[in-house]
Amino acid sequence: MKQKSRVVIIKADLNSIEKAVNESIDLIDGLSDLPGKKVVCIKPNLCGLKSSSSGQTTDPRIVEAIIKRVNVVSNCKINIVETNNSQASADTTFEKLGYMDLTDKYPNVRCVNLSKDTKLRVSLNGEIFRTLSVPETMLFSDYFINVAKLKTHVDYYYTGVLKNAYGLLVDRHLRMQCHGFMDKILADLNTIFKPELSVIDAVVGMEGFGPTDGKPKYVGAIIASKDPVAADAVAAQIAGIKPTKVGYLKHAAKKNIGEFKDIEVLGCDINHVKTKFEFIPRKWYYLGRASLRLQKFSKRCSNFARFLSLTRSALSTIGFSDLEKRASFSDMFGLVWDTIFKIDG
Amino acid sequence: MKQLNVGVIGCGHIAQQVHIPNYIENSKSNLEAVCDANEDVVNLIAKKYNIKNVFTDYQELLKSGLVEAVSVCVPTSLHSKVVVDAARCGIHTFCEKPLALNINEADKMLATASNNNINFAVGFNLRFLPNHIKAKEYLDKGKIGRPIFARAEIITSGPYEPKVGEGFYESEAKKRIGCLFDAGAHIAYLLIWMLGEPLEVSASLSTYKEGVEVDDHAAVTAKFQNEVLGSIQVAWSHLPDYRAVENSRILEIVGTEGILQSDCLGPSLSFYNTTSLTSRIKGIVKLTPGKFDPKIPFEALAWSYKQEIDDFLESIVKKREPTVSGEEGRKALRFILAAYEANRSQSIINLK
Repeated sequence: MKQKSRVVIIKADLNSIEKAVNESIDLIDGLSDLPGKKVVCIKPNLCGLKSSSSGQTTDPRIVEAIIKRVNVVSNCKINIVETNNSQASADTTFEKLGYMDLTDKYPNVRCVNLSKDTKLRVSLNGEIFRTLSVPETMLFSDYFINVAKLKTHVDYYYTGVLKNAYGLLVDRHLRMQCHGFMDKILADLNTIFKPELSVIDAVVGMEGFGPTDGKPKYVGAIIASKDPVAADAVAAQIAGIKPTKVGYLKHAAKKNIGEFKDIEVLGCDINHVKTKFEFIPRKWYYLGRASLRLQKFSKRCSNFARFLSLTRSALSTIGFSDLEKRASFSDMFGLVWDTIFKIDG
Repeated sequence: MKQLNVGVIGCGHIAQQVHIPNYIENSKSNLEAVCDANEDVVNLIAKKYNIKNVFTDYQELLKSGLVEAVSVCVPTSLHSKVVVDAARCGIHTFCEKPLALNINEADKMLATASNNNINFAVGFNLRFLPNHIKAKEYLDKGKIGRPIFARAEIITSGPYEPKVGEGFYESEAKKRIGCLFDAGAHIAYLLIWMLGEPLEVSASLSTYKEGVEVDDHAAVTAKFQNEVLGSIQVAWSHLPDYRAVENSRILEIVGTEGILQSDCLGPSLSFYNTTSLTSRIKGIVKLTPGKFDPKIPFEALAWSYKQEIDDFLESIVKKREPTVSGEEGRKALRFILAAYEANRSQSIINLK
């Protein structure tokens, strides 16, 4: 019989973060696959410059507690990774939010700005990504821990672990343009960057105009799971959001990234921490959805333009007769299809 | 920036496809003169590319004082003579591969270049492909552990390409230069770059096409330092459709902790590492460094030709060694000649 995905909820306040993190990891044996690994990447959610008490970003004390646990289990390098956000570079964000202090405190820890990292184009052949530009640091990590923040999202109701992977897209312009394809993008990203441990900072969450401009909402919990979809499904319920309303969550479950419904909750009872996050007025939500549809259409148009430019480049480099010899018709058709309907991330 | 005045000696296939257009495009150079023994050909090219000075005797070009650097694109049997003469005139020289027909010729070229203090580069353009550069970086950083086995394979149409047809390339093939000397030199050099010079070489060469006097398919095995085994397979194929052989152009290095497979002609490499999370999820991961599209063939190869010319010019301007120096060309030649000798004598050639 298939084992249920286990999610642990531990009550925590600002003074008991480390204890709560330890307890949550212990209950699900969260680092059982870690021994022997050489490079661990930890991705907090640092989508802006506001502190964790504003509800916008992951509390560095949670990341520090995880680092301490990792150091007990394995003698490895730890990279705290993030890309540039719309307000500042990842380097500035690390500095302002106290993450650089961790590099001073722990010699095996460094903060890596993935936007400045060497990138390699990986042929993904995913649902939406034909290829994906992957930072070398992520490519050579042996173990990935996603440390998200519990927040509402103006376009998708909820954001947590799966959506935190969106920050691994190194091209910021692409990140701005591709919100319309979120379900498929997150499925692709969470396939290639599937976390082996997911932790959600739900001590102070964000409600309203999340994930960047909302209001802080005190919840007082740490959520952890080895299954990112299950962690998100439980966290959404804690925020009073039905997981079925979150499109990308349903889609990820369909793609077998994790379990959506069959979940065993450990630690404290979900009803003891459950609350109701305020959401934006419906009219703003629908306006946002309409803009996403337009964005999707415009991306398809720009893909078509790119296809025309690639065709010119290929033909001018090697000529049509040679191209015909070097690529089969099915290859060429596949290339046309992928160029128009898929994205190079 | 001051432009270097350059010339091209020998205006065959490689000169027309690579040297002439890339010198014209490069902002560091000014293509001042071209030379070919065939007057019709050289006049046609001069007219096509608007080149002012035309020569049918390369000695006249070298002594004209018009150029500071030349590309030598004549048949391999003439490389040594032309390069030595160019070096004696103090002209920086880019010589197409293979460097020479024997080690004595190569040594003479190297000594003359060194004595006259000129930059001497050899045309192993694959060294500039970003996928091979990345493969080398990963190998050196131990991303696949300790290398234990390497394989380089390439099947090309070579002189059997109808377009090349009855040109000098084919007559050269009939006379002297087999597929191992021709395409094999490229991948032999890639192996040397990755693993160092071979210590032992054995080989089997053969010919399937009637009327051809040289090898058109060859299999070479070699032992490198630290007991690393390597092999080279190379063939000229008469198959008219490139797709038939497109998968037969790989440089593969197997290590104790992973594997690298780099497309000989670019732009991608595949990578597997036993610990990497991405490899564990996706298995072997196909990577394309730089700006290239993994599905557009030969864009990166064209770029590598541009890069080798640019590197040669930059090495002159910055007074540094070219990335692929004459010495590197000699190493590849030594490897290839050992394979020919191993085939002839049916023995293992010791190069220690």
